[in-house]
Amino acid sequence: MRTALLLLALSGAANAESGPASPVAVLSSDSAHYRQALDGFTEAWGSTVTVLSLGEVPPPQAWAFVAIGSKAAARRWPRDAVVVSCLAPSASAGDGAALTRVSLLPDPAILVARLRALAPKLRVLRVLWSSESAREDAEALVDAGENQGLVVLSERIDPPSLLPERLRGLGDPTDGLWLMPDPALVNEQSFATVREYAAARRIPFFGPTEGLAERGAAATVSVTFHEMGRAAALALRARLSGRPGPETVRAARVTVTVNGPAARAAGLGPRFVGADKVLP
Amino acid sequence: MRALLLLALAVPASAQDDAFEFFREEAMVSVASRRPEAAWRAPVAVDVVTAEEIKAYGYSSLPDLLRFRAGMDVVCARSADGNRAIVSARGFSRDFVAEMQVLVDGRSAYSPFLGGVYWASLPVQMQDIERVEIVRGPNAALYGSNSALGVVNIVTRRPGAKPAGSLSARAGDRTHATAEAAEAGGRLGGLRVSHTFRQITGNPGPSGAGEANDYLHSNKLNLRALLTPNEATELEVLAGGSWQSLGIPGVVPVQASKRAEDFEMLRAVRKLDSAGALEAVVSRAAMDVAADPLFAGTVDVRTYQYDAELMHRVGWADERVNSVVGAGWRLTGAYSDQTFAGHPAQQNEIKRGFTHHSAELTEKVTASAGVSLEDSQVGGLQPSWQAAALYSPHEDHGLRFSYAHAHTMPPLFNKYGDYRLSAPLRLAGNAELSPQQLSSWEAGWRSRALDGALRSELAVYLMEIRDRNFAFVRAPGAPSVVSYDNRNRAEAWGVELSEEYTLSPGRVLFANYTYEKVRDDKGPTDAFRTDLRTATPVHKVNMGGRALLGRGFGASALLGYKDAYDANSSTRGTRLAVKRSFRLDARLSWSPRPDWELFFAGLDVLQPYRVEWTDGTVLPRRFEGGVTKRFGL
Repeated sequence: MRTALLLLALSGAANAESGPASPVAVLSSDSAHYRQALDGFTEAWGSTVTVLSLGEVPPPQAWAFVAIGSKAAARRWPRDAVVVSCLAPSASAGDGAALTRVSLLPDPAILVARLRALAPKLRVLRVLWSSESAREDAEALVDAGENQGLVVLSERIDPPSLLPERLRGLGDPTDGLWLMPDPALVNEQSFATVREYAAARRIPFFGPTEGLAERGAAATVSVTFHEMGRAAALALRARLSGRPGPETVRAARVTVTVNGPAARAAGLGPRFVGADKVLP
Repeated sequence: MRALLLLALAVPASAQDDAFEFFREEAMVSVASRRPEAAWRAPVAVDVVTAEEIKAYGYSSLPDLLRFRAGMDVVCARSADGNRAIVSARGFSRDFVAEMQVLVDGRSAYSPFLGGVYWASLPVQMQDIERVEIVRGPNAALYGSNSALGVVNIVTRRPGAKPAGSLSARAGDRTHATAEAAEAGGRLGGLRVSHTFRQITGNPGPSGAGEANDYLHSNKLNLRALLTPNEATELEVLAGGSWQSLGIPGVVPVQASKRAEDFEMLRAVRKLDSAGALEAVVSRAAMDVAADPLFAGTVDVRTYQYDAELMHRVGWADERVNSVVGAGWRLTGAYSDQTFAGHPAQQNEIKRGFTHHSAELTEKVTASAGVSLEDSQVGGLQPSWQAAALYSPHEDHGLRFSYAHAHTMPPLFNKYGDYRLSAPLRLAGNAELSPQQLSSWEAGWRSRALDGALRSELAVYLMEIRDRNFAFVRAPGAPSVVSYDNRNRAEAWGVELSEEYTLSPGRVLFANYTYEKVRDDKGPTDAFRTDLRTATPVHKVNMGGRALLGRGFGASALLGYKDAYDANSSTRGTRLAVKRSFRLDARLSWSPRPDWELFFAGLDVLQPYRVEWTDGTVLPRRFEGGVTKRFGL
């Protein structure tokens, strides 16, 4: 796979000379999730993309980039470069490069609407997050809830090791929990902690990636990595055409996956309105 | 081209199985290699104590926190000079443990005067600690001299992004303490200020009866300011102080000794890319001791330390190779009219360069190596190096093999001291004393099971110390002259096994076992020379657990067993055979609301008092209760 990437890089580098707007994709690693995003980006872009691994130097005339993964997003970019990042929750602009971020979080308005359809009794949703970089998404979710009559309470868990204590201290009412796509917080231990907390109180626990439904979350509202890559391509194209755009863009196509047994145990159902998949 | 591209990007289905893989790759932790790194892949044995554990077990001091950890040896001692504890890793416990480095937010807290660390006066507060990283085994290639047995890295809390604070008070039959903290911040940085007052009184005398003149009044004040002008730059100012007055056990009438310690540190970090950063740190620290009762009579000592360090972290070759390159300068010294007779000002200038590299050779094999070259007035030119290989046949299992060589700089007093301790006894340094050399071979295994709920670690090590620094009677007579020498060699081997099992959220059990066997070459044998063969307990077992019980209640318990050992003071020439013992600490807490906590705790509840050292320090059974109110949760 590394060889394939290298070949792509070499062939891409040659193509990049044909036009300054030919984008360069930089991957944090050749892990599957980054490659899925690259796949989506390439598909939506529709023409040749130069692919570089993290240690490689981009062609000197390149100025349009998609950074896939936080490590890639954190590299030093040419001044005045146009950069779109995806799968990079801690990405931020720096050194004069204009960076647009594709959020891991689906459009909050769509997310809240899908949760409300799935859980009509949901009144108070607690949003768990830890990293400063997740603050913007958490605040966006609070705003979206307010617009749709759902009380969304932002609960920062900092440091993440205080999660059990903070859960214990959560006040009532709490009708559901949403785990933000925050790498500082999403791991086996914290997932098990939240899942068991929710199970003990018979409230639904929602997560941001489909795999978490397979691991026992009641439901997930997620954007695939492939879809995030597509969103990155659209954002980059918009930026290169000179259209002003937001610093953060979100993929519109979401997938709702329900873990049937876990959802029923949390009081959801019997019909799962709006579910794209129901896991038995 | 398009076809080739899509072919190249085909994703194997199995790669999508792990729901956490993406988040795991995005997350970075730990500083075992002086760069962010998954603790799982650390090239040394690392044990991390988190803020959550500190709160759940209610640790009120750092030695109590370290006492129940694998491989650590904690002795309640030296309350006379305000220290109240001797802490060592992997054996070699004695009055002043010169082979273990203690860092507070990266700043060395090692005392250049007599060696070791003054735990009680360390200007760090329990309420500020974010985590404590305990690195067992040599790490001198990264941290320089005096880190041959291990490094304790205390990381304090950064100011949060919104206003928060806490007030707490605790009181018991021997102690009372209050602590306050406040912090505020925003996107551009923040500020945290904290204060702790602690008082210990009423401890019994050496026989367990009466009352020793063993009191401690301590105030600590810390400040931490963070400025982040942009996402790539961090500027931090850390400052703190500790002020103590203490009584001297056995001395009547009451005699007060004063100890004041302060530090200031400025750190600037410029992030270069995902793995690269440039870090510069300058710091100053000083300690003033008035009427130090460690020695007979009154001794005034002032120590100081200035540090400057520049470090560059960089990732190469798709970040499969990560490197750290750095250089440091340190000026450290001690001033005392009494203990350096005729030459009161003694100092040591240290210049050091170091580099460390780790490389992912294959998906399963990682190799790392580091080297340090240090030049100092006291120790001359001293190289240290270490190398490790990690093999992970499975994602949840890791094998580690390592070799390290580290040197230990003799304390200034051991080299230049000259002090009439009492009429028949004079302590005299040895200007020819050279650094002792430690080599260590180690194999380790880490594993995770049951979705990470069960974590295990096993380490087996063999150490050799050449040119070991020891005290002995150089010239019997009146007065006898006690001095220091290197004519000694010691070997130690040991096994450390740790298990931690998370039963359910907030319910954790742990157990660890430590076996240590030390062989000591025959050298001069007298009351001052510590016999290492018997000074280290052979078996130590610790176990404990913490649980959230529902309705706001929480409970924790710690049980430790320690084999018999011989305590031997190399500054007083006294010995004590300490019997094997158990220690049980237990704590019950109740949070009627998330921002309130009430607790009741018993420490060392199995026996009325404990004596672990030769100096008459007595640790009585203690009961405490307290309350904490938090703001801005």
